[in-house]
Amino acid sequence: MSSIFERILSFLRKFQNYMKISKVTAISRRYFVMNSFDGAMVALGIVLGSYTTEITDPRIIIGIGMGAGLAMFFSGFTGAYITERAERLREYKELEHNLLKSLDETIHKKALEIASLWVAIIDGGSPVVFLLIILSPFFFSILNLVSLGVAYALSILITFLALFLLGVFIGRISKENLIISGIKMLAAGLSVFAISLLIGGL
Amino acid sequence: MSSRGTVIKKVVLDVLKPLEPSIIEMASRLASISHVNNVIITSVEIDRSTESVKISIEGDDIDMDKIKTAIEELGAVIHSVDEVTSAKRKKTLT
Repeated sequence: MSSIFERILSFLRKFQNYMKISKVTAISRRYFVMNSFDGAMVALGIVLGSYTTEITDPRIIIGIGMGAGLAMFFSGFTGAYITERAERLREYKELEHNLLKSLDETIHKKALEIASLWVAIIDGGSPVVFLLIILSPFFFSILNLVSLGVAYALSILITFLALFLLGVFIGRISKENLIISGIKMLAAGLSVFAISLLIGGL
Repeated sequence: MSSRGTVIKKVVLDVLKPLEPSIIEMASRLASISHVNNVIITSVEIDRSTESVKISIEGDDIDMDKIKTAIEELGAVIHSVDEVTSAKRKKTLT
């Protein structure tokens, strides 16, 4: 049991080291915020669009959400992997040139591969996680645990909460007032909410 | 690796390394090698992406192959061996 724990700990230590070597901690944090925001906004768009067009079957909302989530995952993952790997590879080759040696058998090569993959997972995965959390009330609605009206309301509330928490997270990074930072992010969601309802009402 | 009758007690190496891993991580990696007792790394010159360092390693029977492998795995290059202290292997009673 302890050996499994030690292995996990050793893996995490190595992983942390790779992140440090490839300097991707700040980039992955940025991608996480940007794409989670995207995911939350897309989810809010789906929910509000479904509401204004009076969709009464939660399966349709889930279906649209899954389709959007899948597209966002693949677009984010491949885009980030290709661009980040190219950026890392450029720095890697520059370092090889400065050291006048191949770094293929070194910690730097592993860091290059693992860091690119990690950034891609964050980029593709974070919007999907937010999308699934926000659409989760509709899963409960399919199971008849909550009514569709409650699912709509819950979903919108979760979006606002998620946006506020993302703002708080950004506030922690920039060491600003957490509440103000949260409200700024929330304002973006509220704007989408107001505009969608306005357009839907026309 | 030292020859049968002698052991390497100390080596001082001139090494060019990438800025990451830092000299702290490099020192702890080298100190984790068996028979190494002390590692002192002094930064000599820092460039945009590389750093020249002096690595002083003390031990009771330093294995140079292990040292070289560890340094190379961290992406660094040994430029020269600037100092070596070698001694007769102490005979152990059996």
